[in-house]
Amino acid sequence: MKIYIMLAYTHTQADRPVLAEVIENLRADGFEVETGIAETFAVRPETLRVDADLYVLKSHSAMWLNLAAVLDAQNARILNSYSSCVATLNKIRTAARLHAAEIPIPRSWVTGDLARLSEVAVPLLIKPNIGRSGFGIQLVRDRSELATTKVADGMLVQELIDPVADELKLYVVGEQVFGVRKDRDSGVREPVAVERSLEDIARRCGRALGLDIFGIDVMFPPTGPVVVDVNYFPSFKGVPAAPRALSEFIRSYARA
Amino acid sequence: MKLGILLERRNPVITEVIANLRARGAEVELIEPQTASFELSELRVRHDLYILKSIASPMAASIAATLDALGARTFNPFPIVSRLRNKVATLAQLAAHGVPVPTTWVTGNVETLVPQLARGPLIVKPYMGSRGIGVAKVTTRDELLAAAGDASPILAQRFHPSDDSLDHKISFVSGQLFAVKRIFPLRTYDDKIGTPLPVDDRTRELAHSIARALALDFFSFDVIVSGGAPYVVDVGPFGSFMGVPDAPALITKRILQAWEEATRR
Repeated sequence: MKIYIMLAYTHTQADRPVLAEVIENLRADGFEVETGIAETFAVRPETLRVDADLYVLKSHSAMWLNLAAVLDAQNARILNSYSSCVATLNKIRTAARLHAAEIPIPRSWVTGDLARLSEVAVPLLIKPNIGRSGFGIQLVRDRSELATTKVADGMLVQELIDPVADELKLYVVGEQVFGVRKDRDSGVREPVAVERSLEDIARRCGRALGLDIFGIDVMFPPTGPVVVDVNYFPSFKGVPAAPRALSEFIRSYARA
Repeated sequence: MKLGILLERRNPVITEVIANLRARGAEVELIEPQTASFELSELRVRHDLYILKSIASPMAASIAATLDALGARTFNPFPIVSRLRNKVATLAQLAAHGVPVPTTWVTGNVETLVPQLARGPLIVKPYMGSRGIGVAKVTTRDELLAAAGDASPILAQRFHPSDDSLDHKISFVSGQLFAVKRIFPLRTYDDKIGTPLPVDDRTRELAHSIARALALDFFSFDVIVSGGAPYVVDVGPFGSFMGVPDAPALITKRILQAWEEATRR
């Protein structure tokens, strides 16, 4: 059985220790594992054909997503699904789906023109609709900044959370949930046990967005936990159990 | 009957369609993404049918996607319109159904395309582009690098010179076909209207192949005839229908039909 891993563009194997271990495990299990970085190819899309039993979409790049679109149209098996990955990269879509699924998120507005948010209380976070790893997020503390803050296109605007506890990163592999606490002051991360109610929120995010392998960032204002970000197939850095959980999930998914 | 029309700019055809629909008793609300602003929790499906006139900007596409996720009925269907925005996936789909398209490359590294210039010019276009914006013909490495800029991925196609130096724009409305020829790029309003062109059997066959390949029954496409052979260079979900006789009446009829289908389901 052949598994193809659509890799993100990074410079060395050391940038992805978790994935390196997953690949090793899958090969030890008898899978043929091929990896590729689309950014290094020149592809004739009309000649692209499904030639793996399962594609694992690790990359978040537009190039890989385009090729995934071509393979998806030919009914390739892709983990996570192509449509869920595209939807999750879009912050407005993601926030709307989470809200519709009654998952707590910060109060949010959608606008193409910040001047129209005159009734909204500051401070606010202005997030580009299609954003990766916090890129382009702006903080507006003063109302007068709304008129001068440049926006590219549609923006998701969210109230700034004033946390009463450290942020949690929850990593999900199928039904398993792993927690990492991020110290508010030092930024140091450490694995932590996850409360049942938070596990439940994480799993509900997965169902709402159609994702099997993903991470969420949870913050804690006085009113209770809110989900502030969702990423498909994150790095799983700092999750000691991740390589094994990922290998097992991908193995059973491929054989299902 | 409540209709929401998602549109990014108005033209005389759509303006007349809206007037027609209102005259037929429809409650029409225009949703213009560039000026839209709302609290997320207020976004609900409030219309029987949403017409996706254009979703080229990420904001428009997000609103459409969100409405679709909330269960809204859309014309054309959102998943199809959304896939059409991606030129890479669309080209592959067309080619798989035997529709002639220029040889196409997609890459994250523009240098890999340089050797192709030895065999003639390339057309570089944004993979998510619309209305011809950002489309450039390149013949040298410098032009290629300038046209690609920082974009990734880069979509490039073999350039085929048009036999009549014109672009043929074909509109397809539920099997009815209309064709105009226009210059490219468009410069004036008259350029946009173009000159009517009779629809021949080959064009008719091509249009039906595209309709099958992309599961569309309301769209427009651009064809270049080069060395006597047609090449489909673009397909759009709605099109401006400029230059099509009776376009407003036809579109109104098709929308009313779609609305009937939506309310019957």
